[in-house]
Amino acid sequence: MGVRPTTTSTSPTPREMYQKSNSSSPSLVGSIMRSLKSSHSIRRLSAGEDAENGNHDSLQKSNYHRARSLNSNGSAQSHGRGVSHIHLSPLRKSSSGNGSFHKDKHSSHSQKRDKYFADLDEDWSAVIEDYNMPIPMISNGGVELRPPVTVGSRRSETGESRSPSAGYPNLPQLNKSRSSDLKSQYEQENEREVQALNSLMHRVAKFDAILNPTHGNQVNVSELRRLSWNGVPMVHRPSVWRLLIGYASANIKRQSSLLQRKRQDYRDGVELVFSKDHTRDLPTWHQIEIDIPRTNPFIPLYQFPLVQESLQRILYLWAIRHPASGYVQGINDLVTPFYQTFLTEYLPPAQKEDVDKICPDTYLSREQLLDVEADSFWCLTKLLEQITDNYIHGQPGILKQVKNLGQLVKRIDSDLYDHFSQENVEFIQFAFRWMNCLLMREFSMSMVIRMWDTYLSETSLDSTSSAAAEAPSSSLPPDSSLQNSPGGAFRETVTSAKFQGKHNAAATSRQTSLSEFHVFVCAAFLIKFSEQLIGMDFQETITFLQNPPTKTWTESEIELLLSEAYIWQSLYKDATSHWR
Amino acid sequence: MSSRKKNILKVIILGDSGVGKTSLMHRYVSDKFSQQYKATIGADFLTKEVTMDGDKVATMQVWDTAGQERFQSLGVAFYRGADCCVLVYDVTNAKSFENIKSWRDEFLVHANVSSPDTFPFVILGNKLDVEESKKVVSNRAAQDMAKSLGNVPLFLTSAKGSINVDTAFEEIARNALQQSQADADAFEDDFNDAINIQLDGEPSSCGC
Repeated sequence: MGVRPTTTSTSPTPREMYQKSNSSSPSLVGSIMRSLKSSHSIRRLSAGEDAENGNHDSLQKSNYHRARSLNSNGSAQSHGRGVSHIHLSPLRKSSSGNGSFHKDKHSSHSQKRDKYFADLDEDWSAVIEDYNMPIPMISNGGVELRPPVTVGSRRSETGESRSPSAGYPNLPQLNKSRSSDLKSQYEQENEREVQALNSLMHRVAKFDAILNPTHGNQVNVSELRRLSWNGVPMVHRPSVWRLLIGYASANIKRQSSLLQRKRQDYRDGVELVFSKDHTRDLPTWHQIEIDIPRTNPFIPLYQFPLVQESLQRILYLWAIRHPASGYVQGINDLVTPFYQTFLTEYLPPAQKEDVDKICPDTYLSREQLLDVEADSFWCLTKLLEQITDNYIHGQPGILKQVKNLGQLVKRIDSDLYDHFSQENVEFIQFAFRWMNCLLMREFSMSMVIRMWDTYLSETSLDSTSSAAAEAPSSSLPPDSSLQNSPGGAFRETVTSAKFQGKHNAAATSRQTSLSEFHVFVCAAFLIKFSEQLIGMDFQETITFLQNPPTKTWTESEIELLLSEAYIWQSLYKDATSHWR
Repeated sequence: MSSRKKNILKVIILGDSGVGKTSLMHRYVSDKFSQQYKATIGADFLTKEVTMDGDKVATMQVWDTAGQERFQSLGVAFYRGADCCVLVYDVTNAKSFENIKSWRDEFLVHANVSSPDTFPFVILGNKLDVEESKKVVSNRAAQDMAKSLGNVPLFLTSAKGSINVDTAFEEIARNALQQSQADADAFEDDFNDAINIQLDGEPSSCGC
């Protein structure tokens, strides 16, 4: 989104609202909701209800509202502090991008619905009747289907068994439903599904458009980030991730040749380290070897020997090429979302969601498998460049993040912080793993992948935000061709200082990064359980936090978490100024 | 000391990656075994109520740590306040056996225990269930090692086959309880000392 907020005054509203609500996130949501003069006739749910029953409808709505609120209030404040628009834009998109549509929907429901459906009517009916039709599926924010599923099987397998609110709750335009209370549940479900499909296709079309620009050769990566922050359709995810993380070139004419070269690089690397000339680093090899069977042990995909060998090659090559860090446990987790995502590229649409069950040798050639490996390898490399400090000796990046998390919680939720102090609960005792594995151990794989849509949107510098520079190594911008970025591509040797020097002051007054954002996500995650935790002693706290009830989280919950993290990042910018 | 009221025994399990620390903990605490544990990152934590000598009840907090060397910088956060340290090796992995001593030293450096010479360790040689041909650490070598480290109790265990695990942890609990009581006594001594020092010091400061 090229247009930046023009208001420069600092709006106190979100902070005030926050203070009133005193750290309970649902109340925060509630108060923001209450503060809105929404023209929508949206059914109101109390904040308490949100918190108590985890009503997805209400959560999603809150999410939507908050995004709006942020747009009107938060963005002004943020901008005043020099915040990048990279954060704002995704949320702004959900309000302004779809806002007019929602408004239409609510103002005259039935009439608009007909009109709306008329456009795509043929398309969607075709889709739901032909389960094998290659219609892209989506698992993302705007649409909120849980977990990435194909249209066909969602309908046939999970659609019926799931309650409407768990299944398709997230279209804001569906939440009004006063009028549809009178309809049968079947009708409602149908309607939801239809709307979900329409919204999905709308979104898919947006990604199509951005990935295949009609004029020029450049993919607008900042626009892509803005869009991807809210989730990427499964069908687009491989290409989008490659771009977001700076592995693929934004220049579509060069894309395939560069990709080819990188994939060949990987093959050469593998050939070298597995040749006789290479003296195997036995401790590293052994460590990887014993970790591979312990990687996602509950997901069938990772039990296939073919896949295990694949991961072993990727991890070993990475370790050999990065001696300062070497292989560290947890990196084995981090490679899997890439691997799984790139595999989906070779599956027919109807089977993409089963990527975690099908052995790749049933649909991949040896060469294709190496391409998947290569892409995973390079994306892992890019990701780890952003968080190098997490894995070098002494793991200073993690220690710093844990410390920052503590300070943040002290400010956001001092009651919880004090309680922890009283019980001698130390943040390092539970948050170390959160940092080391980017919360991957806390969520199901499909939720992690959704989360990474947002994380990878956060990885890079763009014209108005720069990656966090806890150390120069973590400030590496990916090879992007953003509109305003100096030179388009950056060398790994660019230091943050140098990088800043090339920017105007307004653009660089704030730095942000994946690791900073991740700390806010962890804070939001922790504070979500604040009320429960305050009633727990040391043992209960540690036990709870080591097995939080989040493995069953759905996308609406993940997205609410990400939104909360984003809001806190905006509100507490000043708290992080010294993080650099 | 508040811990006296509840009798909490903190036990920490150390050893190379993949020797079976997590499996031992789960076998002891919940009498379960799984092939599907993920590698431990940081430390995991389980508790178990234990009864010793018929009447002494305590809560054992078992900290299962990550074995990879890179995580050792974290040690201090988890080692502090431990009442007993369990050193685990894998009978099929000679390197893990050789590293027992360095794990002990590592612990003593970071745990800041009051009296390193008497701090209780227990050594477990795990994976006893595997076939004989794969075992590379002889019982004799293990006994020698245990002796050389100050007659440290040694148990050959199998978390998978549930061999000797309970016996070993009973010993661990006993050692931990002893250590915890010794620490408590030492604390009281320190407390008295502190008062004495203060009294002794007063005249000198007045004399200035």
